[in-house]
Amino acid sequence: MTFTSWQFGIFVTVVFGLYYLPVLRTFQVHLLVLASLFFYGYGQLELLPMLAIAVLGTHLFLTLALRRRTIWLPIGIAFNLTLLAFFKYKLLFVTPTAATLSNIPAIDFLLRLPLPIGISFFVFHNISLLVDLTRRAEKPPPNLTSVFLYIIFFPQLVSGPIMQAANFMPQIKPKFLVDVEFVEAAKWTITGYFFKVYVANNLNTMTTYMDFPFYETVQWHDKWLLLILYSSQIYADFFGYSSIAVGLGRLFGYRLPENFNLPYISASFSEFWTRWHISLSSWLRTYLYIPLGGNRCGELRTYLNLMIVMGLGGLWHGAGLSYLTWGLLHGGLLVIERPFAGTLNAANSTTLRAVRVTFVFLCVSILWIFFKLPNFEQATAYLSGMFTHNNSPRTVHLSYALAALYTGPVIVQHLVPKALLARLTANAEPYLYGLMVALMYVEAGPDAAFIYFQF
Amino acid sequence: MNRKYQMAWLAKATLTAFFALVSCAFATSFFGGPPEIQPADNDGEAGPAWIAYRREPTPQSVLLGTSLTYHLKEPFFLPVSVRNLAIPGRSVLTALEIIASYPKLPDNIFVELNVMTWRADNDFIRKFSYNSGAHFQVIAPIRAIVAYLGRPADKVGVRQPVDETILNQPPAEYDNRIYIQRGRVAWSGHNHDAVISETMDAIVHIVQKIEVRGSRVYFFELPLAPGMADTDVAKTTRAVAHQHFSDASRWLQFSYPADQLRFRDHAHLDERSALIVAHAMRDAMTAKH
Repeated sequence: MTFTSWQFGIFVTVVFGLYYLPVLRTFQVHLLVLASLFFYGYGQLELLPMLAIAVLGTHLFLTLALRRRTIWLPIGIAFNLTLLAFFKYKLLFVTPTAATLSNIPAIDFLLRLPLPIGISFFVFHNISLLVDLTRRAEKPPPNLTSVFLYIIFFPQLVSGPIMQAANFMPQIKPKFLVDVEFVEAAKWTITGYFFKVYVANNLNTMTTYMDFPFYETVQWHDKWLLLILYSSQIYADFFGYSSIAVGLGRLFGYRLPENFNLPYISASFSEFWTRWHISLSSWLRTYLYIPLGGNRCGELRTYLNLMIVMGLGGLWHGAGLSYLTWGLLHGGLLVIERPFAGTLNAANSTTLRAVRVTFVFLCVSILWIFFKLPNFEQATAYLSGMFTHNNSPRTVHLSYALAALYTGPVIVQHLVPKALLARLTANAEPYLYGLMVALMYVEAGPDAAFIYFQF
Repeated sequence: MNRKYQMAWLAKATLTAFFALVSCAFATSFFGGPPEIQPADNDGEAGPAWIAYRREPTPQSVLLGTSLTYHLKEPFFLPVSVRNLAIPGRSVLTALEIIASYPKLPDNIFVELNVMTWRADNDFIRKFSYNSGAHFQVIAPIRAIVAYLGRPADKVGVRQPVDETILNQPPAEYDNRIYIQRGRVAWSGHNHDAVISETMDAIVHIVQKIEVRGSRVYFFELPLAPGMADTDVAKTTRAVAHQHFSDASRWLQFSYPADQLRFRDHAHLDERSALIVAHAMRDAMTAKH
């Protein structure tokens, strides 16, 4: 069940209606857990047991780790990483559609299971739960229902935001309808759907020309344009999803973290990672970079840590050379800029900042090629095609007007200062959101899966 | 945030959305339907042709096919009037299903049978069938403006004269070897045999349903780039097609100077070649009328 389906609309309405019934108040957490299981199982019923094993296993290891952290915490983390590695990276070694695999029915069954949607996200939730709660030596351990809710809360189950247990668990308490911030929830939800349905889905029809072999029909300058369109699309897609999740969270009384903060106005790569997929960056910093030593062990070790974290961050997205390259190149850029960061940040020049923002945006956009084209050879072919004239007898020309109109919201959001935008729209806010609703209905692009669903 | 403010805010937003949608609906009825949406690129989408098909009187003759047929522009057939409803990237079965959903059918339906490796696209069928919700589509203001400003000169229904002087020019030369090489790989082997047979069975079924209602269905095969015609898929498709429709009178027989034809890739004719083939087809179609 995707956020953009009518089934999801009915699902949320029913769950919301039941959730705030006074007679069910004691069972609010149970209701959300059941709803989340239904949401997850609606598309992948055969993977529900796997999800249950992940949660039950994590709860067991949490209980044990609260007694003896040094032994059971690493085992609990290993258990989760094994799950992630098995499902995510088995494709490197086996072809699930092959007639014969191991000839052991049980193993073959596991090998043929599809990649569980959202596994990368809920495994990170599990690890956060194990680390956070055992670090604080919380006793007794949270009950199983609360653990389930933290891990599988449906707005964030599939693609985050990755919420740290320390921030979520205290929010589990009875919720009342009078406390619901309907306007805030509406703003987040409408914005999210608008960016997904109007911006991302429409841009998707154009960025299809980045795929192989279509990019061979695109002139070099249009390849640059497509790159910018894809940057806008992937932002609108993921920002849209995250905003819907935040909005839905508010409806049910939970504050999920904001996942984006205008990433394309970043003047440095380190700033970019404080603005893009903030919950993942934050998770990697808390549970990987800092335990590795962070920047406390000298310059060389810091560089190495950055490369390790970004390389693993790339592999977290998928098992492939392209994802690894993407991560390592981001790591490389972080390493290269680090010695100059102080000097550049000290310079108080608007022009310099504009140049830096443009440079960072172009670099980040170029690296998205490895996301769009996970086949490494195709990615490098696209990249080289951006600098060479296309002699193909087949060429296409993109509609620049549509490109501008579809990327418009992303550009306005990034380039018009927030304060100015708020002042200009202060009295017109509900009307603008109403227009966004109408626009997303009549100008919706063809339905397309959320890009981050594959991770 | 107090409850009264929240309710007022939500009411304003809801009413705005409602009135905006009603305005679009009124605009739709004022302009007689949604515009022929300009595709995001110039490689062509079949949407505008199908929107026009729904809105305009049923044409006497239509061409159905894939991207191979899509490049045969309607003005190439003048003075014969034919509506090209080819759908690039989709099975011809898709177009046949949509045509069959309409209460009134064209007199002559010409169907390309070159590519049978795809199944029918049910989403496309749902979108453009007679009983689809698309009848209630409202104008998308942004796309309408872009469609108006960027309307192509040879848009659907507008018969621009064709510059036939290109026939006096020598054929162009393209380096399409890589596309032919890939095409041959893609069309080698017999992985598609089952789909080809199933698709052809479905075509037989739907052609019967159409012809019962008084239309006549003819078939044609377009030339492929040298090296593609002898691939496994091309040979299987041809054999299965002629096996299912063995009556020679159903087939458009037309000849053309093959040495004059040029392909931009493994299958798609360039404009000059498309004009040559369209002229040859036009004569064969006239003979069938």
